[in-house]
Amino acid sequence: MKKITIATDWLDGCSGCHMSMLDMDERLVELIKMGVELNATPITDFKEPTEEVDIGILEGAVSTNHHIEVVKNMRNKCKILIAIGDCAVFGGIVTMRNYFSVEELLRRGYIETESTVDGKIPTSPEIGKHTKLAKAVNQIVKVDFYIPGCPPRADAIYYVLKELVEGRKPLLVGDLLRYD
Amino acid sequence: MALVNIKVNGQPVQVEEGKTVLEVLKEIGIDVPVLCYHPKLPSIGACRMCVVETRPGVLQASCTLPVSEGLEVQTDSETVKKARKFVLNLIFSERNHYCMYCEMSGNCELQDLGYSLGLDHFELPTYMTKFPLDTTHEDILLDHNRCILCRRCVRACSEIAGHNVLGISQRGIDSMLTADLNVPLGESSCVSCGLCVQVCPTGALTDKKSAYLGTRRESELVRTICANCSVGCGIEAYKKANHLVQILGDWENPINNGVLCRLGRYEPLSDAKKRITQPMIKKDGKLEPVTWEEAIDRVKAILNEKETVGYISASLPLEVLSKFKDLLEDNVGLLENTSNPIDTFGKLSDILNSDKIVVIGVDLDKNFGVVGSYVKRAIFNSSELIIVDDKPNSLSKYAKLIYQTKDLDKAIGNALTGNNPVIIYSQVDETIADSLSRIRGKAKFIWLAPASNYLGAKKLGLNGNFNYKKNAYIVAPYIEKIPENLNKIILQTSYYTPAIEKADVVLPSSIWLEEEGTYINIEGVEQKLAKVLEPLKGVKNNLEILSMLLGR
Ligand code: SF4
Ligand code: SF4
Ligand code: SF4
Ligand code: FES
Repeated sequence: MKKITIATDWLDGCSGCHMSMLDMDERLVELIKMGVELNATPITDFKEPTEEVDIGILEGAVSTNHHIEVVKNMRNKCKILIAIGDCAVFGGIVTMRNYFSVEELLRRGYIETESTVDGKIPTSPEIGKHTKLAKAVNQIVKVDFYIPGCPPRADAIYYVLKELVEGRKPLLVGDLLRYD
Repeated sequence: MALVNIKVNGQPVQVEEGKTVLEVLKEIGIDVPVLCYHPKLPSIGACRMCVVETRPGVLQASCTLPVSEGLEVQTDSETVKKARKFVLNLIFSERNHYCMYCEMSGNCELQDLGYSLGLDHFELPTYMTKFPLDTTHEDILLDHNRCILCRRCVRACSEIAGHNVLGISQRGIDSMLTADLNVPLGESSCVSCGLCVQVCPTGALTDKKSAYLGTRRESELVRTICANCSVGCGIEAYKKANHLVQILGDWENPINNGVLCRLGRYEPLSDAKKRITQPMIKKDGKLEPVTWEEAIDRVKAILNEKETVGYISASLPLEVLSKFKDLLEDNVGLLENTSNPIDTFGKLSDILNSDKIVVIGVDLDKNFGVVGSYVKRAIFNSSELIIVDDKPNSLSKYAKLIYQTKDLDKAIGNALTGNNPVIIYSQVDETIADSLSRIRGKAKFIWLAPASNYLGAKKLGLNGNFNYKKNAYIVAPYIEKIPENLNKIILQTSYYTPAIEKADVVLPSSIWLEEEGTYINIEGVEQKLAKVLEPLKGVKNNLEILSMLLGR
C-alpha cells in the first residue's frame, strides 16, 4: 500500500478547522487504513514537516511575518497544498482587523479590552510581527485546493482527502461548499 | 403577440416579440444567474451576471436584451461561464463579503451564486476599505459594506413604492447608496415601507427586528393579509417555532403588489404591548386570574340576565362578527361606527389612472401608507394632488394645491374639472358628508374605513343601532375606552390597557396573527386571513370563546 503523508499547520485561525478534521471521527481511521500518515500537525509531536510530504493543509489567515515563513515552508515541503477554512481560503474573520492599523489592533487587544488591567503589548522577539493586512494563503503562495467553511464541514475535508488519496481531483459542490 | 425565431444553444425556438432574452430563457427552463435583475422591477443591466454570447466573443446582458428575429444566443459556452465567474469574483472582491459574520448568510442571492458557480476561493484580492454602517433607522439596517450596488432598492423605492428616497451618489468605485441628499437613513424622508429590504439580494439592507431570528429558508411561510387597516394588503409571514421571523409584501396580491407600509411590515414584529394570557374576574374591586371554566360560567350568568348589549370591533373576521350577533340575538353595535354618504367603492388602481386626486384630512405617509404609495406613483404619472387638511400633511410637498377644510368644495370643484378624479377620505364629519353626497357618481371614491373589516361588518348589518341595556359584552383586540354608564362589563380582548380595569370579566383573546377568517377591504374585495401563529398559551381565539358560550 502506498503511503500518503500529510502535514497540517495553523496560522491566524481559531483551530476550528482542525477540530473539524478531528470531527471526521472514524473516517480518520479509514483514511489511515488507506495509507494516510500524519507527518506533522499542531496536535502531534512534530510541529513542522520533517520531510517532503504529499499533502500540506493550512488553516488560518496569513497575519504575521512568522505565518509567511510557515506558509512558504509548507509550500516547499508539500506536493499539494490545501487551504482549509474561510480564513485560509479568503482571509475570513481575521480580515476584520484590516480596517484598523496594527498599532490600534495591538492597543485594543492588549491594553483596552474591558477585562484587561495594566496591560502591555508584548515585545518578545519570539512572537511574530503583524503584517499590515491579514491575507488569504493564496495571496502568498500558490494553493492547489480550497475547502471554505467557518469551520469547513468534516464531510468536505473527508471528501477532498479521499478523492486525493484515490487519485481523483476533488470538486466541492452542494452542501460541501459552504462559506459559513 | 408576434413571434420571432431565435436560436438558443443552437436549437431553434419561437418566442414572443417584446420579451427579453432572460424572460424567454427562464420560460424554456434555462437557468441564468442574475443579481441586479428582479422580476418585479424594471431591468437596468447593471451587474452583467446574466450575460449570454450572441456572437463568438460578444457578451450581452440577457436581462435587458430584447429578442429579435434571427438572434442566436449561447447560454453555457466556456466564454459565458468564464465571464460570469469573473463578474462574481469582481463583486466578491469589492466591499466586504465575508459570509461567516454576515446576518444574511443562508439567505443571500450573492452567496447562492457563489455556491452554484462553484466559487471556492477569491481570485482577486479584496478591496479592504471600511464603508459606513448606517444604524440610524428604527427598522432598517444599512450596511454599505455588503452592498453590491445593484440598485434594486433604488428601483423598488422609486418605481414600485413611489417614495423616491434612495439613489446612488458618486460614480465608479466611489458609488454609494444614498438616502435623500446624503443624509442618514433614519433622518431621511423614508416612510419605512421596507420594500428596499425585501428586494435587496445581499445583507446590505436588512430588517433589524428580524435579525438573528432565523433565515427565511428555515422558516415556514404563511401567505395571508395584513389586518392592521382596511386596505388589506397581501403579506407573506415567515415564522419559526410559533414566532414571527419576518413579514414581506405579497407580490401576487393585486391590492398592494408587494408594497406594504410600516404598520404592516414592522409593527407586528415590534409589538411590545403586554398581552393578557389569563381569564380574569373582578373580586373585591380587583381583577383576579381564574380558570377558563370559571370565567365562562360567569359570562353565561351575566348573559342569562338578558340585559346585555354587545359592542364589537370591525377589525375582526366576518365569522367572529356573525357569531357574536348570534350570541346576543342581534343586539350588537359597532365600536368604530361612523357614517359615510358614499356607497360605491373605487379600486386603488383607479388612483393610478386618475388625473386629479383629492386627499381629505388624512396623512397618507402616517396612515394607510400603501394608499400613499399609490398616490405618489400617480403623481409620478403626472396626476395632480390636491390636499384638504387643517393639519400639516406629509404629502403637502407633492401637492399642486392645498386647501383648508372650510374650502373643501373649492377643492372638489377643481378636481371635478379633471377627466378621472379620485377622492380619498377617511373620517367623515357633517361638512364632508354634505359635500361628498352632492357629487355622488361624479368621481371615484376611496374611503379609508376605520377598521380592517369595516365593510364586512356593514355587510352583516352591523352599525350603531342597538337597544341600550345595562350590561355590555365588548369584543375588541385593543380597547382604549369603554362606553359609560354600564353595570356589568364582559371584555374579550388581547392587550392590557387601563380600560380593562373597568371590566368584571376579562377573556383573553387572540390577535389577528393568531386568527383566521374572512375580511372585506375598502375596495369591497373579500379576502381570507390565514392563521400565522398559534394563540399564546392561555389565550383562545375569538370564535372558540364565542362557541363555548353558545354551548357548541
Ligand atoms: S451579503 Fe451575502 S455574500 Fe455578502 S457576506 Fe453576506 S451572505 Fe455573504
Ligand atoms: S443596498 Fe442591496 S439592493 Fe441596494 S444597491 Fe446595495 S445590494 Fe443592491
Ligand atoms: S396599508 Fe394597511 S393593510 Fe396595507 S400594510 Fe399598511 S396597515 Fe397593513
Ligand atoms: S442580472 Fe442582468 S445585468 Fe444584472
